[in-house]
Amino acid sequence: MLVIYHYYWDATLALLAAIIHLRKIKFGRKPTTEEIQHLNNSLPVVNFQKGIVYPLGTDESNNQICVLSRGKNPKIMVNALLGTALISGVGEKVFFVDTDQVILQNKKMISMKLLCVLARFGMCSSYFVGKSNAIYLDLTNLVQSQKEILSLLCLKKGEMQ
Amino acid sequence: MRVFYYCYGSAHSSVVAAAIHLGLLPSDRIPTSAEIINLPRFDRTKNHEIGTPFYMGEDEHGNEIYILGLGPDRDIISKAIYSLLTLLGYPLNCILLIDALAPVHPVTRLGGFLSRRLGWVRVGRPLVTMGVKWRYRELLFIVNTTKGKIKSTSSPGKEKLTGLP
Repeated sequence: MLVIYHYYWDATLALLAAIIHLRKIKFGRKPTTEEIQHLNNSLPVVNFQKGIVYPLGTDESNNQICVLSRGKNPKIMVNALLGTALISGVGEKVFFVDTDQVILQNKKMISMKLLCVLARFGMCSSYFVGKSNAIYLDLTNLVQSQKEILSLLCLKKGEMQ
Repeated sequence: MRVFYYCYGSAHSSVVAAAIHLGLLPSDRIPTSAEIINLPRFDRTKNHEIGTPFYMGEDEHGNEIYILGLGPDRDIISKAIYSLLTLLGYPLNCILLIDALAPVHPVTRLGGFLSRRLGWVRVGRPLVTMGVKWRYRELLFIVNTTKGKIKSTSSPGKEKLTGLP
């Protein structure tokens, strides 16, 4: 299965979600700013080009984890990607996770958005994610819940086969 | 080969381009307003359906023709579709994404906005039809170019397509 963490606002959040999924950072611990900075620097692609799916690795269930920088509307993109993939006979292998929902669900939404706008210009992103415990916990919860859904989906598929 | 004609909302220019490709609209003259309005799915797509591909039919060579609305980020999404399919191992010579919005007249855009976004169908639809007729030759050119592209890649594409699920 291909798991795509897609974002519009903040690349670091999507990258972090993928890294949490890949267990490069252990659950239940807040990463330090330096750690995120180091991860940012160690990965081959730091500035994700819009519309390109970047594979970052394979998780323990052999799912390929990817990051995608998209446009503003996630619904249209997911519909179009899933639709064309299904028509082409490969759509059942794709799973989408919107990491922007962590920002949008957060209570301090306006300040988060402002910081994400700054992040889009390469400013303060790592600092912001590294320092914000709430965001990190939300992100961890999101990845964990998506992983559970993913394993249920795989289980269902196995039963059907 | 699967051909996707895409525009903003899969309601107007992509429908007309797909119809020309399928022979539902003439290629030797400009169609009448009634011919355009009576096309299947013309000015019918609702806002929540944007992004969903719709099957329009099969052309004389067995190619499947679809229409697709990609909203304001159509360049990013079309790039993402190619990128995703490449990653999934789907042969890219079996799929063609064609931008049908580029030649669209501003009157069509205005009419489309009035009809689809605001729901003023009586005002918007005639404007759309008028705009389509004004830019019909450009749409015809796009379809003919697409048919040429399909011809040049059809034989290896079809061979690969048969092996797909």
